[in-house]
Amino acid sequence: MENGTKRSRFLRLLLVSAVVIAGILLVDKFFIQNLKNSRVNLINVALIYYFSVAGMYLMLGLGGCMSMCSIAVMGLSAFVCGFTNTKLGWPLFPAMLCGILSSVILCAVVGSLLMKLDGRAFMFGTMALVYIGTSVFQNFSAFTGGPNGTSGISKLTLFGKTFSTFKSWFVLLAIACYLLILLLHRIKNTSFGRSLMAARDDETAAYSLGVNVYRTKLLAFIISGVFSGIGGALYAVHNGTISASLFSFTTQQSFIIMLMLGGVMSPVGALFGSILVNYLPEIARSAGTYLNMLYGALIVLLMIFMPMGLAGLLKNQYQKLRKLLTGKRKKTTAKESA
Amino acid sequence: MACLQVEDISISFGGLKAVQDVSFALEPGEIMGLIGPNGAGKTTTLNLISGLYACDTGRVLLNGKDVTDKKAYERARMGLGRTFQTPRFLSRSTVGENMKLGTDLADQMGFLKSFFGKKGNDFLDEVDQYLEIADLTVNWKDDISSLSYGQLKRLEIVRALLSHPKVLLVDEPAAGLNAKELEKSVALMRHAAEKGVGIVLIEHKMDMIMNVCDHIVVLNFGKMIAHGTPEEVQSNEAVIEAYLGR
Repeated sequence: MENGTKRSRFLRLLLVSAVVIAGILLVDKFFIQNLKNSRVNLINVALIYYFSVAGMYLMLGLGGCMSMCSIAVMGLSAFVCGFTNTKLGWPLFPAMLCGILSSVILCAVVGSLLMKLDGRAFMFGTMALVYIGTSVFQNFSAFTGGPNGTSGISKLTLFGKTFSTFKSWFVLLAIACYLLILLLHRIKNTSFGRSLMAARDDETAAYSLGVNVYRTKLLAFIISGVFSGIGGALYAVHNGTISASLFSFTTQQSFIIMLMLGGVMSPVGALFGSILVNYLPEIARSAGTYLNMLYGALIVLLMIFMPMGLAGLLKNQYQKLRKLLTGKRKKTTAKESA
Repeated sequence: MACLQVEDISISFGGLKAVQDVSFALEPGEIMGLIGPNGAGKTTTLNLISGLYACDTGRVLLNGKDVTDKKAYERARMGLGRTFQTPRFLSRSTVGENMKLGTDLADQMGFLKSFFGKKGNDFLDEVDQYLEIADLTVNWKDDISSLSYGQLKRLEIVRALLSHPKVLLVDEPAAGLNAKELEKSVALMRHAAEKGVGIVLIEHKMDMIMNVCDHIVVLNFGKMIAHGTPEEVQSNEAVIEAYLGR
């Protein structure tokens, strides 16, 4: 926040964005286009999952509330999008919007009922939603297509380009994830973000600083619902076919691992967590039946040695290195050090 | 008009009457001491005023407005600041983020406004002014956990002042502070009082209370046993008895 900040910040943002987009294009050209289709699908789905994981970062990383229903919210959005598009014949964009809206309404209703509970009760309450969701998605045939699922969802056309193959989706999804990270960063630095962190660390202090804890957490839950809703609508359009089995509790579990592995306090870390968790089983396929065992052991080790995930580990090393290079930080006035 | 008026507030926890019929008024710019032996109900009284506990009976008026039914965060937004016996900060955030929470309360921006608008840097001058009075040098981007207890105690008062309160409740500012640090805390409170903030101060250090306060309320077993100037309170029989246990 030095002088002339607004401009220099904007320039920095522009520069970072240019580098990131160039990076995405390079990865696309030299890596994604040479990959097998099924593997590109895995990466794309990881990027779509990241929308839900980002919502969980907002809830858990900033708000200190474990929400377990992202997958159900995502599923609802996907099926509403699929239903309005295939059965009602709506164009794709209104259908997607309708899906997102349905997840916002679901989160607003469930959130206002459950958010008054304490953290553990809230967690179990949201968990129940996933079971309800799976059962509805499996059995409500008129709406979801039942065991057969919904298929034949329209292809996305944007700027005159039709996204018909998995490979064509990658750049779009990667840029969307980058925008999402910018958004999360911005949210963290608003008064809302600070209120959310206050509610996480010390509710009593939060109250005495004028924070309406219930409303703040409810708003965070609804925003996370918007993210999951976008993810669900993208999932439906990306896959073209969706079925209830995609939105089971197992996927919710992997969301948690993605967030914990990447770093619960870091949106960028969580993105890499998403890709790793979704892609690693494919690479380690040779481990066969031992895969799940290895996976479990890895998670135990992860929690012992890096409770803050990959991002936390990197941050620690970076801080140690900086301390080594610059020595102790000089203490100055707020204005100079801000 | 009194900036804080407390009328016959009481609360019981089970069979224990923690605070019974306590009443007093505080004028803007006044510093009022709230003293009493351990367990007398001082912090409970502060919690009743700030809304962390709901009163069983009685009323609390802030600038003439009845706030008895208002929640703690609503009272905070109406200009009631407070600090705690053990400083309460966001343990995983930076000094800057913690201080901004104080200014957020003064700004009272909605979500959308805070998302699209930009917080100016004007408040930094104010922060530096307070930090100078408190004799604190901190780095804005350091983790809050890197500060010492004595620094946190003073920083909590600074944070409360950044929210521009009309009434400030200060719970044991001297606990754990050395003489020099304490002097700086007192300077901060005097500065606030000069600007018209009414201050309620809980403290065990009698020399500080007698020195700083305009008037004093004494509690014992939840009841108000004396109310008056430092001289009056010092010579009050009931007070001497409560403290010396005669």
